[in-house]
Amino acid sequence: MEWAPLLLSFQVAIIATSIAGVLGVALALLLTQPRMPGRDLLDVLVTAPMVLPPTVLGYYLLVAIGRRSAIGMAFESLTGSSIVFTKTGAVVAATIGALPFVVKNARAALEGVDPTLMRAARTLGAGPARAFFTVRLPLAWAGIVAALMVAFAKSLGDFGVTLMVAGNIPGQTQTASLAIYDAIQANREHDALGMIAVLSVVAISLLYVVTKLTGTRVDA
Amino acid sequence: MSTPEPAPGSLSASIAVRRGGFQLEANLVVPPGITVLLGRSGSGKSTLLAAIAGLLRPERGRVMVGDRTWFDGAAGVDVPVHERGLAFVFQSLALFPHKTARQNVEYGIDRALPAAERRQRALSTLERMRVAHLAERRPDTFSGGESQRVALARAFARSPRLVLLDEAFSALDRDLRRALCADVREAVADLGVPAIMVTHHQREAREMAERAIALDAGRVRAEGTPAKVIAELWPSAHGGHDHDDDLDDGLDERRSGAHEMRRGGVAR
Repeated sequence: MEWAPLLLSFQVAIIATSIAGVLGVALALLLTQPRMPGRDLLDVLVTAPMVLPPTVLGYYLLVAIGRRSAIGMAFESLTGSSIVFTKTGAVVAATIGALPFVVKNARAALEGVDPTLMRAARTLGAGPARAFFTVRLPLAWAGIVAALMVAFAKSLGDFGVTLMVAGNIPGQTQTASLAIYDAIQANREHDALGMIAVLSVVAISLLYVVTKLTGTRVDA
Repeated sequence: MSTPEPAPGSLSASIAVRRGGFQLEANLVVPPGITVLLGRSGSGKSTLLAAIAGLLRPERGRVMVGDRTWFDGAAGVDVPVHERGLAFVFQSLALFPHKTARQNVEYGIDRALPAAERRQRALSTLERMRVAHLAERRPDTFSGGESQRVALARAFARSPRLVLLDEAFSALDRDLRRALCADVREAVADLGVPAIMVTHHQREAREMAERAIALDAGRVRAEGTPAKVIAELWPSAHGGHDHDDDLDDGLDERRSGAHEMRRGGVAR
């Protein structure tokens, strides 16, 4: 069985989940502010990757971070390599795919914390940041960890957006999902079985832990 | 009309708040010691407390404690709630469920103090409120009365300049409430700061406080000794009987004869 695609998938998923975790919790916090202007618009934008066809989303990403885009050129002049059709592209694809799951679940977890507790923290001398990190975040922690696990499972298996943005270059951007597709297409089913088994076991185990952790349904 | 100079450390507030159709317009001076705030549900008691604390921004007005200005609409002063140095006991108590009693109390103590001193002060305040044995336990294991005492310890341990108690005892039965009242009186007296306590119980009002303020439809309607205020607003409640009634009902009845008649047959 081939290990390289699996290793790449895990590598990409770990980085993507870290980025989506920090960004997603920050966005979730922003979305819990009742008076934030443009809140609904931001909500829709962040959630869009869940409903857009992966090819359409991939196209937008190619436009936004391709070699001739402002972001793409800036990145290339800084690092010497392009974002698209590299491992970086695979990370971007997985991050965008995972972000909505982090935002939705982290937001629900943050909003589930009794607001009186935050007000109590403020009356006890805590500024907004201290109240967030010492009261709201710890109380929402189980839900946020669950959100990260779902995000990890999602980014581990991304197919469409990764294919559009990072391509399917064996040894470079060929993640496990893409390698499984290739193997099946080429009638090398036995090559795919190991990866199918690993991805299945990891995803199902994560989901089980998430269910235990939250005791409730998580949007996945 | 002459206004006597308020005692040092007094709270003086004139506050206007508009929330939807509700308008609160209240002027009050609260000297050190306990002042009970009476009034039926919807009279604006909780709104007034929140506005004094800075949890809610008044439309206009001024809030001062001693010589510190916390809010001055005209001058654009609005000290954030966490810098006011007050203590607020919520009706739900709002103990942090993920922290032990000691950690809850330590949370509000000045973080400039060394950790050992904060810990010591938390423990001694818990002991004072007779709940030292709960120090290393979390709130989900406390009884109602124990939670109340831990919440009060958390409020008093931070040496506040003002104490606000929003119906903090309403969940307790009469005997527990009585025992707690004595401890609260003593703690507030030791602090030597103003304390406002929202209550519905006239017995509690008489036992706890030297002063009372009655709020009705967002305005101060009477102030003075609890006995005087209660007699003025709820004449039917005045007398030597066992008064542990909900004052809300008294005011409701006075305001609406039809309501009183309808309620007449309802045993409570």
